[in-house]
Amino acid sequence: VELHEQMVRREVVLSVDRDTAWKNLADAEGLAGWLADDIELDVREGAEGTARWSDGTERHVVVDEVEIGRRLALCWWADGEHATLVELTLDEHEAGTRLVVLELPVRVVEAVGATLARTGPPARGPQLAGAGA
Amino acid sequence: MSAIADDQAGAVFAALADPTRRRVLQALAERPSVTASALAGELPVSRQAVAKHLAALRDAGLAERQRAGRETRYHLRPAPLTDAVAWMATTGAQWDDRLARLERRLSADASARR
Repeated sequence: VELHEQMVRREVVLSVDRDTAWKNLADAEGLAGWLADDIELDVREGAEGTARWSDGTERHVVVDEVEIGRRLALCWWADGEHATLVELTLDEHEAGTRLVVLELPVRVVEAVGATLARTGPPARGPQLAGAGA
Repeated sequence: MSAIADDQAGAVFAALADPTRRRVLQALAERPSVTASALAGELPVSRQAVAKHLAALRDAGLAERQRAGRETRYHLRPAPLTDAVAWMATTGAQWDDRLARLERRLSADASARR
């Protein structure tokens, strides 16, 4: 077990510019069909909504932070589960736009003092607004 | 996905977020059982700090204590680590699916524009 790896991280280069990539993060319509099968959510800080999948699973979602065009952080959890933090970050890349995904249990974020391995320029730490409280 | 497994994974990851606690866990993993005093003797931390870390590891289900005469001995319980690894594997696979869907959508959009 790699004990230091306490988060899931994925990175992909999308063959579109950052504005086009952001359209897939900017609102429920953009997020539906890839992040989840169906999403009800206003993409603004503190907003609460629901993500659903075709297998019947459902998660509550709270938007933690929005930096338009660059970053979306949210917390989600299914009933009876602890919340995890999801960070989606867009950066310019020579072949288009790099999307970095981080997901980790909120309890870890609290335990390590919200110093995530950030990929972009330093930003303020996640505030976890109303996360799974 | 199992709610219990995810809950456990959160507790395990939180317990492992502290580097000293990871060293205590590592030390537990190297032998069948050990006392808090023996751990304090080999790690650069006080007996009190070791006790605190052992309590946190017990809370996360990673350590168990047993009385042996006048001694209290601790040993590793590895099962929650497996749950934590399972969470990472499941969650990672879900992101692979999501990102593949996003890429398919973007390439479909691109061909529609041509």
